[in-house]
Amino acid sequence: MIEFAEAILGDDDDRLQVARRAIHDTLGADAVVDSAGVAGLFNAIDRIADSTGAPLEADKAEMTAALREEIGIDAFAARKEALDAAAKTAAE
Amino acid sequence: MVEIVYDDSPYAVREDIVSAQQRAWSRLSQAGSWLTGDERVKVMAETRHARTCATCEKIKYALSPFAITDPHDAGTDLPENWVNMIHLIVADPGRLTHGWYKKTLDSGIPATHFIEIVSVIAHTTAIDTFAKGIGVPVRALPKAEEGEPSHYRPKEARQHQAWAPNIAWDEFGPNEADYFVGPEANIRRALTLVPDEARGFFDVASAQYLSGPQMRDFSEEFRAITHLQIELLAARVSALNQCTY
Repeated sequence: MIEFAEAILGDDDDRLQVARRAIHDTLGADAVVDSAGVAGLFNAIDRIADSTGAPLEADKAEMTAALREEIGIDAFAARKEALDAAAKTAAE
Repeated sequence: MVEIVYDDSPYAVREDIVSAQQRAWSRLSQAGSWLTGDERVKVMAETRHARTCATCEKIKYALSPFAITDPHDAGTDLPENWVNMIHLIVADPGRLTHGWYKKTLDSGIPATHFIEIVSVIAHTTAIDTFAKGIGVPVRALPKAEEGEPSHYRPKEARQHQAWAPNIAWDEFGPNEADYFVGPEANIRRALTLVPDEARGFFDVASAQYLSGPQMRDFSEEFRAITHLQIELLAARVSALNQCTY
């Protein structure tokens, strides 16, 4: 699944074909379709969230705080703030 | 009108996915709330074109996406500020900032148009990535249809914590009562400044991912991959996109 996610967002067609085949051989043909559906949907929904500034719900943020810190998601938000600060400084 | 079919796919595609994508293609070809059908199909085309833009490639590897000021390689005659917006959302969504949002609006794109453009990009991305996933070429774009935008803006939409105005889960009016069903989710509010776009996108979501009730029903599996496998895949895609939601 992780390999399929990485391959579908990348540019290496051979890698994607191998990942697709692995899902097919392990979970069946329908699993390839469902995996493509989910990956496609989240590739889109991430763009909706990131371009509209949709905040994470407070209860979800609290429940996932430790995990988010551990896997580095918090760093993405901090980087956005740094980018905005740098842009503001450059404009001044 | 070009219909989506997957006759060339080595995998049998679920009928509900085909139907949802056909409905999406049909909606995208017609005038929306703020954009004409012609503009919507051009946004779809520009979304695809952005994937091969040399400036976008530079942006991905730059320390700041705003440090690159080269013009984007436009594939349509859409206004330059639309092209800039589309290309950055396609190329580097994880580094979009509130400052970028405000600057984009200041360039002359009203929030209503902004949301509709985001929605068209998202629809195109979801359906194109699906095609890539099953190993077939992207489907032909629909032919734009005549018609005028409705200019419908729900009076309940206002500024909240998100950058873009939206309707709060407990503030919807009668026109949107069909949409605000089930537990609150900020992502479902994100496009509600243009309610038909929110409805349309989550129609595709129900087929390609899961419907709201299916998401929360762990007593049954609804796909050929389990809830756990679905969430693992979704989480990895979102992490690669550096999505903080």
